[in-house]
Amino acid sequence: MSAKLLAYSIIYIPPVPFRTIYAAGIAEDEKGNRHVVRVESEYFEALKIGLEGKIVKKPTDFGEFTFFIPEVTEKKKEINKVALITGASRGIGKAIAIELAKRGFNIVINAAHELPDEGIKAMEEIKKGGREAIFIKADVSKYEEAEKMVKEAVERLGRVDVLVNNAGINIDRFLINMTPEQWQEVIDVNLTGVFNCTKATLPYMIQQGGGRIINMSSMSAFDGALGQANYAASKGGINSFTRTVAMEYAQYNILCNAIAPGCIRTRMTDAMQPGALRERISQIPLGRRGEPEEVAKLVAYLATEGNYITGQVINISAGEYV
Amino acid sequence: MEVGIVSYGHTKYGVLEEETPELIQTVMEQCLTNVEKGIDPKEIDLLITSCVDNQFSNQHQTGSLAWRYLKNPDAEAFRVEAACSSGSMAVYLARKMILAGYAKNALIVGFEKMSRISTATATSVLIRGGSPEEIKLGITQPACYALMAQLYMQKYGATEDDYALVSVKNHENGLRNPWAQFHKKITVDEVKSSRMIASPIRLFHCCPISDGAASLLLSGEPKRYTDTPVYIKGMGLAHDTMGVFEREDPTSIAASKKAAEKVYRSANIQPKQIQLAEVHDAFTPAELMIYEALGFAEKGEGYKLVRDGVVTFDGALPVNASGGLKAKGHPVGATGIGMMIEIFLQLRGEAGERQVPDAEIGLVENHGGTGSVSVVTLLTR
Repeated sequence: MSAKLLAYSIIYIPPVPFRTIYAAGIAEDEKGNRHVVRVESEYFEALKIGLEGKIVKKPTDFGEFTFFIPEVTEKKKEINKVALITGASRGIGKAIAIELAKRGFNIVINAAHELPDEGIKAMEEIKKGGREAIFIKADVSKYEEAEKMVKEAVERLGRVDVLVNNAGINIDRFLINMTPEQWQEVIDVNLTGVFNCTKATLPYMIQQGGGRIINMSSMSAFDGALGQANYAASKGGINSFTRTVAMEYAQYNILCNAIAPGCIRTRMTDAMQPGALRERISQIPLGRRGEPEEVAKLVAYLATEGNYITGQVINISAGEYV
Repeated sequence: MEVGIVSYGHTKYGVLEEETPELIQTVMEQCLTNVEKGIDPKEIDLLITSCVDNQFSNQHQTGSLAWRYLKNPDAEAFRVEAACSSGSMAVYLARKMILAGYAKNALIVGFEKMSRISTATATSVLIRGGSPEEIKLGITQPACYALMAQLYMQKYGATEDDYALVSVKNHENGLRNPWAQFHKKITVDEVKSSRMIASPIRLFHCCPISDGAASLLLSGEPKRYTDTPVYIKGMGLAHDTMGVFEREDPTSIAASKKAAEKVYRSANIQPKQIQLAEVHDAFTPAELMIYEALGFAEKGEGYKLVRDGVVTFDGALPVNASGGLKAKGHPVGATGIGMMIEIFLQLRGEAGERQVPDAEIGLVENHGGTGSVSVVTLLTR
């Protein structure tokens, strides 16, 4: 039945047994009868007094509920979602940017330095595919820069639906030779950077009624890695951070997962001694390095599907870690 | 016959160590001790407890529990529940029973031990004060008030600043009340930037989760127990629909309006004669609607009283000099009784730092749910 929304309130603290946020509303039908209704979070952006829509009764696990479904205008349907990928000028980050653009996202490419040719080409490719791509230079290890980056992304592209915390560095050496500065630098970029970008993005996602956060972890978080005490610790931190963010923000329909790649063809593995690389590959059941595009497809799945997955660290390692 | 309040007991409101039995015992003993001319417990023939939910109290049969502490085996005891207006409802019933000759002296004990459970669980307990439709959909109490607040702003031009001013005023008043849960001055900006609970209601518009207890001794022969009783000149009880959505006017607290009109009519007084009031500011936007319901302001003009400072402690009509539910606290079963104690002390000139000068006539408005039931009480020297 057609109806108009007279008043609404977004309930940020739902009562038991409900877990995720929704809005309460008073809707008036064509006959002038008023109904108390629920409005799901996917419509938060459309909420306004006088909004036209329909009153629909639908079964839920808690009985039959009365919902108000706003009329979604054509304009609304055309809104392109936005993905922000940190450390996206090359390697896995670049592959993720291209893959998400293929899935219809407008893209924010971030890097701590000027965009290399590889990154410029990626932006051109995205634009050729009909999506917008912007570059924002920011050092994610500094909160002010992360905050400014997210603000600029929202100002220029209107929103942020997916955050991929991909930026990462490694400074490998045995702990006995590792300076406190080398420890700190890796932690600052890999772990604090994830905190900074996630914290800066959450308010926008909450306001939009949901979002996806995907953090780039590593197999080294599970089984350690010689010479990578700083790197492995940062990735282990990401895993715990991911689980906690998932628990805290599920109520806002924000899903947070991490991906732990194994041996992927990146600058990091290219830099290994050939012998060491071959030895490692011989330990991988599928017998080869993974491609950045294969990781990107998993990110795309978590960004666009995977509606029932949160708080997980998903391995993509060809069986290297089981 | 006029029923008078002759004594009281009152704990601090807040997160308390005491459990339900100790809370009850404490305020009962205080109430008996405070009777100026003394009283034998055997003279108290009626005992009514007021509490809202067993998940808070962890106790059924609170009437029997209170009876244990009275030391009058012949007294009759039972519990009353009417959501947040339980306390006033208990007093309403006791007064009627005294007037009808069923009792001579009644001890009313209100309490709630809300910190026993988490805030999330407390929210799901308190939602039960709404209509079945609202409960089913998970429309919380702050959300119901939020709907009212949004409609009120839209219809009458009140602003978020007006709502914030009520919180600021009541927190300012709470500074002077040693029983208050919060002794913290807040600003309009702090209210407006506090965490959103149910838009447009923010954390600083909401009363806290509180523990606390309060008791009153009512008598049909008040002068027998004190030379300075406070008389209950009138009490009005009225209802409206349980759901906000089904109300004729969701921007009005019609039950309070009807209850107040009954009181004014029966006592033959005008709203302008009221010198101070304690009202149900569980969610502070509602206080503006209550001004209108009680006849302190015309419909749609309640916000002007807070803008113009009429209802501040130094204003012409101080409202919630105690700090209100917002700052004093809201242990739901005790609240109505605590509100009456505030007026009792004010009219006797015993309110200390928060004493309103020369107060002779005061009003208590205590409603349940979002206004599905309301009890308005007129008190005089």
